[in-house]
Amino acid sequence: MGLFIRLAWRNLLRNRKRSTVTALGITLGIGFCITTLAIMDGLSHDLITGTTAGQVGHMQIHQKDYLAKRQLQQTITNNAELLQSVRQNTQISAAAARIYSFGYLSKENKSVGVSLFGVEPEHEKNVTTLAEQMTSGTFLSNPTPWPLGQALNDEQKRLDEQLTAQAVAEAFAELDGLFLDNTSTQQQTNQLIDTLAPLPDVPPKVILGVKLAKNLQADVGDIVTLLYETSLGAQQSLQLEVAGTSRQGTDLIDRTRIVFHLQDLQKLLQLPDQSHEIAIKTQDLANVSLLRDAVSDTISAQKQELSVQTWSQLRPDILALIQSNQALMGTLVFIIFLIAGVGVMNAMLVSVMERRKELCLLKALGLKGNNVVWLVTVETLMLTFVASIAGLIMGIALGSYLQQYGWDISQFGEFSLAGVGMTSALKAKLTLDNLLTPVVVMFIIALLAALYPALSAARLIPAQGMRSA
Amino acid sequence: MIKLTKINKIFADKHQSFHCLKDIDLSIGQGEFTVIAGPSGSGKSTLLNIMGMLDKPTSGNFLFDEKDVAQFSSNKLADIRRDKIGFVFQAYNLMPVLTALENTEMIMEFSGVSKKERKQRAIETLEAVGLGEFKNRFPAQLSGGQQQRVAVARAIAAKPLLVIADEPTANLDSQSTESLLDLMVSLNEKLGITFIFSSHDPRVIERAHRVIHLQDGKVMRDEQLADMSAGHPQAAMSS
Repeated sequence: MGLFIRLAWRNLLRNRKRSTVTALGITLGIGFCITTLAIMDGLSHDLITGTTAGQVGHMQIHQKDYLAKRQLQQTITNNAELLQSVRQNTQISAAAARIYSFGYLSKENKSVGVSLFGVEPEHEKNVTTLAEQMTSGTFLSNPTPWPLGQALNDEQKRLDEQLTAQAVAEAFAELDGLFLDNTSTQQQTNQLIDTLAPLPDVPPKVILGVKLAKNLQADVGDIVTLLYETSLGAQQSLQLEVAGTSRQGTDLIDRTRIVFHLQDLQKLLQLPDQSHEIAIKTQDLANVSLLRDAVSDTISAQKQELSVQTWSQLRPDILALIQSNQALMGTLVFIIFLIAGVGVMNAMLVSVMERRKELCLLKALGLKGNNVVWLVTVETLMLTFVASIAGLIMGIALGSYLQQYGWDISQFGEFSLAGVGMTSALKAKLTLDNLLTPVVVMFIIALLAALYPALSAARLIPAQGMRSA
Repeated sequence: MIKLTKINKIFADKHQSFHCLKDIDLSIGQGEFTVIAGPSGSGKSTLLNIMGMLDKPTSGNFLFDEKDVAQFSSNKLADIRRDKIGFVFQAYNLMPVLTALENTEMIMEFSGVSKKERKQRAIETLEAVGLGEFKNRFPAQLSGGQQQRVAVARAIAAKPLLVIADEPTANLDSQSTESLLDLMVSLNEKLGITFIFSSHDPRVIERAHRVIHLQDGKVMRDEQLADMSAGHPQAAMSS
């Protein structure tokens, strides 16, 4: 055994140039594979983090058909109680309820269609990075003090019935082409609405998407007017104060989003103790599927038709993107290995052919065929071993650099993949798997590549090549 | 110790064939110092290759040490070569990446002799061939004669029954030739090792106990020049 190692090592040193070039091929192969895998993992990690921390969370609860229809009325009722029971699970680190709707936002003579997004600021902070996306102003904190609505008294109820009848009559009259002044009917109706669901005395604070704010030329502290429809179908308008602007990184969202405190939007839309969505962050993303089943069990006690979905079920496009990215990088890695493998095979074939005489001599002196196979294999393994160490060092150096500083992609402008805003530097992620996989695969490929030269060496007949000098 | 009966060797490919050895009958006893002589192409090396089990005859019987080795597998033949036969080649054929000492130790390492023992035997053998002080040199750092002495040391260190030497002096000057022959003769006398040479060098033939003349693949003449057993060099010289 010692002799084989000595022979193999000295044979490698004997043709330093060729050994160095072959080793360089292996080193570069391993180094680049590690880097490629680390970039791939970094990108996957960025995509998953961008998806989960940016908006989606690790999983979400909705009313069963909400995602398909997204109707204002498809809410999770008794929101607070459900949230409490979800938050009791120790595997869940945070849960935040959300409400969605649409409206028109205007300032002076500009108006834009907007999506309304109600969040619980203190919980949302723990689920997503929404609070960290601020570009100006401050994030939301407390809900706006909102006067309580009062039930209608008998006199008001009679007035309501009378106004309804009057409105019906006016509607028919209008159909007949008569013009009636209905201003007083409208005023009386608004008084009744104010009694039932009064509007706040101070404008509620909201966060605008950075591009929305720019389009409306709205700055922090400005007052904007929202036109919206309540869940009961009434159209109302309300003044809002811009508390800040945020950049989520996705063009559509930055152009249309307006963020409310959950309670403000509940009041506005008249959806007390209701939400459309509960976003959940778990302690360990890897176990999200298991936890999904646990949460499903918890909420099944709620007597509501609710469904729980993980981030990958909610964003299958992201999962598909990650998988296609992995397939692409995998192919690249395979090609790199193939080229390195052919290089090793070539080097070993040449080396065996050059040493035909020596190998014949070893066989003549009593070395058996399988020992010759072993001798050539040991040589290949040694070369691969030394080159692997260099490749590991190269991969760790390159990978660590990219992990620390990233690969600057800001030159390509604002960058989002499948609606996930990416950070401007693409960061690699080095894992033990990324380091070991290329080395192990390279050893297997080197062994396979050595097999043909080794077997052809073993078949040499000792009498051949013995005579010439 | 070697008995060849009706040995034929034909080298053939698709286009032609060459009948190299023709019905060779030959016996070589323990302790002989035999030269196979003949011009180039007479079949000397082929005959040596067959006797050394480096090649197989096309037909005929071959008894080595009273065993019929014609039917042995290549691994079994490798074992016999390793344990019982030493080889010395015309082109020295040392491993260029191993030192003189390592080359000498090599065969013993193949057969699993302990490190301490094989090292001691290799050093003793190198000293016996007069290369004790060169033991750590690589072949490229030795002269042709010195390299051939290492080859002899390698051949005999494992204490074989038989040493086969294919034109060992062909590449040596006369001084090296003489000292190499002195060495082999003394090994033959002291250790009783059987030597079979191929050579057409008169200086070698002069020292042999027996000369087998080969021509066109046939034994033309088998001359007994001395007592066939080892230990009687004077008889050999005087006859």
